[in-house]
Amino acid sequence: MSSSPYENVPGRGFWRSGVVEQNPHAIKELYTPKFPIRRHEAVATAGSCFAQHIARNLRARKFNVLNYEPAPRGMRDDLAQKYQFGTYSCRYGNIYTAAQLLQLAREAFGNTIPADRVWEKDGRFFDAQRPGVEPSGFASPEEVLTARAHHLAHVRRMLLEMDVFVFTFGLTEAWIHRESRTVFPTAPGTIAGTFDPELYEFKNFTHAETLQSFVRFKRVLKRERKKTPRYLVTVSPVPLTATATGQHVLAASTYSKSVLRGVAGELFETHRDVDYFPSYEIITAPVTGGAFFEANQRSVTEAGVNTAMRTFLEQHDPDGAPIAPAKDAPKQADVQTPEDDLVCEEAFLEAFAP
Amino acid sequence: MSRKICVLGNSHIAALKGGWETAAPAKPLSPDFFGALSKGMESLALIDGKLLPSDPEAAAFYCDISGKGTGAIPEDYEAFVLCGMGMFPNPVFNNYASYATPSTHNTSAEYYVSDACLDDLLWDHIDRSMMMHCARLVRAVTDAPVHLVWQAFWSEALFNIEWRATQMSPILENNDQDYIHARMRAVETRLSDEGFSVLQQPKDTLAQGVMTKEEFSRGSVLFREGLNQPHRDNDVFHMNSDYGAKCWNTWEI
Repeated sequence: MSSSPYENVPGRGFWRSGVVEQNPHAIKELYTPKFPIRRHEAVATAGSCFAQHIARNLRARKFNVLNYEPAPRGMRDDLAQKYQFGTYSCRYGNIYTAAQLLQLAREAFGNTIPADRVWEKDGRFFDAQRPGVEPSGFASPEEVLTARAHHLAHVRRMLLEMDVFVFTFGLTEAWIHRESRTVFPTAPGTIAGTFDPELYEFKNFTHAETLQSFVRFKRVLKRERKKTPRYLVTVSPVPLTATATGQHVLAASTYSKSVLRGVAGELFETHRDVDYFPSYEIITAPVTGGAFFEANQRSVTEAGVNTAMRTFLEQHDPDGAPIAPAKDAPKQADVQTPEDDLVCEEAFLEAFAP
Repeated sequence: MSRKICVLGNSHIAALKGGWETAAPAKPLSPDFFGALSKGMESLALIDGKLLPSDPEAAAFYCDISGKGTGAIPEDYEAFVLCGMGMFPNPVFNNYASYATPSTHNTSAEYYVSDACLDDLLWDHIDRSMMMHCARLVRAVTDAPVHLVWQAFWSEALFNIEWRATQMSPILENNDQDYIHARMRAVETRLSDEGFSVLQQPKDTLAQGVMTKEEFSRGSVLFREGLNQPHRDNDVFHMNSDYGAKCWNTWEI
């Protein structure tokens, strides 16, 4: 019989030995996979901006990261990024909320049709569910819907064929259509559309709502597939660009990330087929002293991304080539960051800052 | 009084040179032809006041083929014509079967993107081409008109090559020639913004709108001194002297 229930807790279970005494670039035993991800398995990715790092690094390590909507032949990377080819496994852009993920899956399987599907700006028309993927928009709403129909066919295929789904929870805050409850990835009027408070309302999804959305998403796949995929969830460490809650953005960001981390934790604890990868902890742990954030205190440094991906790949691809060792984080605001290579619609909100 | 024209290009210049020399049109023009093989014109530079490739091998060829034994002096010319050098809508042809746009009729294409997406892709291809390196250099050293020439559409002899036939057939079946031309016009708008004009392929050399009649590619010759060595069989890219003569007769320079 032990004298204390903590007597047999391993070193990783104590703050001093598990964190304080650890190298922040390589915290030991922080991540033990629930299941392996093998290179041949079909991996699909979605989520907020930070998820793009995961896709990119897995591709670089020759994992089978699905790409159902590839760039046209001969298109260079920077142009492909402009049109969001290869950013994720399909061209859905960033999916910041679990509610939008569920909505997309339902739409792809013909279970729902979102309202207010086409937004207009300067005489051009945009897909309200992914307004950034065609920066110049289309000439008519009909063209937008034709493009969406093609896109949904690819999403449907992806949802049916993937072995592993990697999803990064990004935000709890979203804008929705009052009447239909359709969720949008960006605020109307940010990239396209017009903000009308009679039509749209702000929504800050709760823990219960976020959890329910993801569980329902899983149910959709269970219903549509013979064999369900496995899920790897992460939480984006990138703070909110802006909040519409009326609170201080730091408090709002902490709330949002706490909810998402709580949801990810509950999914991990209660679903055998859901694993959690602690990229959030790796980047934000106090022991890093904020070194994994750029000078803007939002963007994650290259060292931070590398540390997170090294932690991931040490478990899933231990024989692969090493990722470049972490370097001291640059602090100059004008240094190009890994975030500069990302497509982040949320960052457009910065343009509205006073 | 003949206007002095400086013609710059790569292997595609052979048709223009041959066309001028074998069937000189009655036009008050006096063209000089400067060029280099393959990627030689990538190194075109202004050296001691002369347009000349910095690559020694390319420079030697360039000087020899012109018959001048030296580089082109920009002030000597009243207009410049630049041909070949990658100015061709390759990406539009290459992606047609898989990528539909609002302007196409290929309903069986797997992907659907905006016309702007293909316009950007083609512009990026042209923008990085050897043609634009040379064109911008010339633009920087002279105020004379600078005319750029699209490479001729591939010869209809392409139907002798299975994969090329497979690539071209859907465009013809869907009557999407206008789509190809629209992408080219979009490039021309951007070129115009940079101060360039574009000379079009003569209409009577076209086959089905987006190919060149086989009679204009048959017997095309290599860009070599003497211009008498034929290209390989099934060369669908290079045109012959008859094509060059058609161009000279059609263009207003």
